[in-house]
Amino acid sequence: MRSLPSRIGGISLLILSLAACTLCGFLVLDRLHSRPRTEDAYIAANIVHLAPEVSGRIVSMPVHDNEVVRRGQTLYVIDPEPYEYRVQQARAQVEGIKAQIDVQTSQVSSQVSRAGAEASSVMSARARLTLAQATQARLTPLEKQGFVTREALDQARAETKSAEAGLQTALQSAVSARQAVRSVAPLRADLAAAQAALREAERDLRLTTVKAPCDGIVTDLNVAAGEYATTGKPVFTLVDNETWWAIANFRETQLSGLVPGQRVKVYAMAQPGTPITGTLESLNAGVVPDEGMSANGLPKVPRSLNWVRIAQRFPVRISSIIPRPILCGLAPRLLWLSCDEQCRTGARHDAATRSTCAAVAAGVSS
Amino acid sequence: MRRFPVLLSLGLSGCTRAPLQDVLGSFFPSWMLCAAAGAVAASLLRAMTGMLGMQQSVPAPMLTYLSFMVAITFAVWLVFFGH
Repeated sequence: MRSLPSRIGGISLLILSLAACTLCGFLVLDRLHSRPRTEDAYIAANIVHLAPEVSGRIVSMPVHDNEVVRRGQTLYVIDPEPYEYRVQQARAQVEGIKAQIDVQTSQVSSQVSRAGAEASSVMSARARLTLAQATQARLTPLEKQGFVTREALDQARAETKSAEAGLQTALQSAVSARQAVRSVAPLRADLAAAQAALREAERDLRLTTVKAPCDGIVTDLNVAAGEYATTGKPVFTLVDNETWWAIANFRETQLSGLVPGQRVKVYAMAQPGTPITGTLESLNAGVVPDEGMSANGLPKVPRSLNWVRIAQRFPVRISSIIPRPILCGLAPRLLWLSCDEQCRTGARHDAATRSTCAAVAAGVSS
Repeated sequence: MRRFPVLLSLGLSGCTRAPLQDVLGSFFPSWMLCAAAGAVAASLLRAMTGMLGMQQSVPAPMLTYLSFMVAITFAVWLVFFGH
């Protein structure tokens, strides 16, 4: 038989349960609204495909797969011998052109002296002509008076003519000598070209030692010293360890609660016990729509009977994601996870490394 | 029966406050674990009312136990994961 106290207890159990359910339900809804969260997120970093700028056989490779390297550290060395010879060749060319310039310079000064000599011979020819003309002028009145023979006058005339011709010859020679002075300008241009070639050869020689462009982690390294490296073809990949970020896909209904600068807690599934604090950097501007596309010049509108619309999700970028001390311990594991994931799902082109993670955006005030 | 809370605490010791929980290598939403805890709590309540002989006195038992389970689910979520 049901006693009164047990009936009261039963009814109060029902009422209390309903009240607790309603109250907790409101609290949960409020919390979800004030602190949006998503389980669809991943951690990413940039990658560098380490392709050499010069071709050649790799003679030493001091790094190993998954090794953490510092900016500027030597990653591999391409056989520098042919590049050393190229530098020597370019240097010899520069020296040769410099020697040619020296020779040419002395030739030019000799040509300049010769031109000067020719110019002074013009003066002498002019003086001779003046003398001949004066002699002719003196003899012409004397010949009429009979003091000088006609022959002597003719001789004076001939000398004047000869002196005129001599002056013309001297003038032409002076011009010719002046024109014959050669310039060193073409050789100087050759020198500039040879120096540029030398600098390029020196650069190539320097680039035979490939150095890390950033702090990073060596990955996908499966060649050893002895491999022939070709210009522009990556030998291995370096994951840029300096900047990490997270991409969290939030539903459009949650976006109004997200403000750039807000603090975000990110849980990397490799280490769910230690949340990483990041900052909400920016919100994505657009994604590819499922509808509203056009095909063959006409809008494509699928026939559907969707009463329940699924909220669109937008990627949100969370920066300064991993403080350095944590990164050192965490990164290799993240990388391992990401490799696994890329094999299974196919990596996105932009995302370098991915790890499953979840993000909880803190309230705007915090 | 007395050992059950110990087992429950052992089961929850692997949990973190992340929105996803790693259960044997797969990630489950944390609310699912809360719902499991709520179900366990509701069945405990059912056992307790049985022991006290109140089973017949509970009006609309389905609604009572279901709302109790949901309330416990919400409460556990708020305490552990609702930060």
